Amino acid sequence: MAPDAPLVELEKVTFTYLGQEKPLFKGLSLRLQKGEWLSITGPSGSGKTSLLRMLYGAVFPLEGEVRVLGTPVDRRSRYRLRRQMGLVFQSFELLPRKTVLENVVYGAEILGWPPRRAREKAEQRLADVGLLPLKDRRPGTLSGGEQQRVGLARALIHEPPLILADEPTGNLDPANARNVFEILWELKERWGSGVVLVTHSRDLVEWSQGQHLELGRL
Amino acid sequence: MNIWPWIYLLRDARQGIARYPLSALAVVIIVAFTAIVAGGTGLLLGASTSAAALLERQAEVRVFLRPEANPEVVAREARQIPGIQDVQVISRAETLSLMEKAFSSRVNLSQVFAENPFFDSLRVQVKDASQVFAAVRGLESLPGVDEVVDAQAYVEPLLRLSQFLRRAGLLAVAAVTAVAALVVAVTWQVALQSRLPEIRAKSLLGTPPIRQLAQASLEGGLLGLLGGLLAAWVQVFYLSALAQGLAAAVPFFQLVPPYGFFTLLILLGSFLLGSCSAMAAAYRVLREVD
Repeated sequence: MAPDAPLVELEKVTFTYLGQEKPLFKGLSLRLQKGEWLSITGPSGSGKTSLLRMLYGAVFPLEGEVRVLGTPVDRRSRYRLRRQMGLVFQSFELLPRKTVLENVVYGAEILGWPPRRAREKAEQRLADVGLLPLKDRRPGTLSGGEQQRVGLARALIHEPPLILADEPTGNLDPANARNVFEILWELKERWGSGVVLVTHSRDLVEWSQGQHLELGRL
Repeated sequence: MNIWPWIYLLRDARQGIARYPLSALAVVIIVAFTAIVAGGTGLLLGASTSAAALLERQAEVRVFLRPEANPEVVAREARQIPGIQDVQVISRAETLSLMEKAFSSRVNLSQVFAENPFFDSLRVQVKDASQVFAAVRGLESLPGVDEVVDAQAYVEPLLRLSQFLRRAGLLAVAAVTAVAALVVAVTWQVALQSRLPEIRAKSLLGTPPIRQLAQASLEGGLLGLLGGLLAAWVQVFYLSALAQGLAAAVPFFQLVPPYGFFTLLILLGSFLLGSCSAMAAAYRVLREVD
């Protein structure tokens, strides 16, 4: 990937779910450069999450091209691209039988890192999100905010150049939500990553002072 | 080459088995049962094949001569008949001696008969079973021949029965294996449903489906191998003893199972049964996830 190439590039993308005639969005083009923050808002059913899913290859556009980290997103490239990006979800997607530390280490194991390096990075990332003292606990014993921070640590263990977050604070109270955003912002600033965030919160959009894409119903 | 993904894969497979002991046990039992049925049928088929081969080799014909016939002359003429490999003259004295030995525990034949009641006979070896019929016809037409006795009358039905049993056995094994594969796949699918969060998380973190399939396949293969070991143990210690008992009781039924190869085949088959069924189940589950 060229150093000045966009992290995310959508070119006249049209998307519709199978069996539906009306597209969720049509002819959508956007670019996200290194270090930029893009917030996506819109009413339910406007295609916010679908747009994000398109970026990590869970769904594909009807027309147009989606390029992430300089690579067209398709069925073959999607898993490699996912390993290069950081994905954060509202539902945390933590493994209940593993400890907090093992959950974060797991992110590194998928990248094929050796155990010592994986553990060091995991502890470092848990320290970044303020959860190192809870590393031996299981996710089920943590609060929602803490679980989301574990999810954040796992997704960002490899300092990804691109972070995709789907309503990561949807299950959290305002104080915890603000805390998660501050961590996300700080890590983005530290690594110069690009962030694509799907959110319902207008406050967070204003607070981030980044690009803003509002999707509506077509 | 980075070996760590493979080491993690092995660890995850081991943990996956340990986490769901009941479904693991179910898979082991199903595979073991299938392997025992398949292996037992294989053993019996092997025995029936060897019995059939033995019967097919029974191309021996006995020719009983009239009292006035010269056995050497008839034997010379018999050797000219196409398909006949060897002719041996059994004198009436030899026959009496053989009979005395056979009945020695019950009666003394030389005391029962004032003189030897048997006639000379010929033991005729035909080249192969397919030529017995023509050879018998030829022997019956020779002067001095009283009666010709051959085993064809019961060899052919036995051969047909053996062939039928072979076909039926193979079909039964195929059916049992297919049912077992389906049951194991369904057991896996149920077990994998409870692992959906883990599978989804792995997929979202970028684990390619091939690695998730490999893990399921490895788990299934290991459990299949356990089932195979159990089945091999049962085969070697119990079924083969049963078959040897049968061999002792039934004429022509010889059991010489190739134990090493046979056990290897059971283990390989069980590994493949567990592995392929688990992979098929994982494939279906992965399609739902992504």
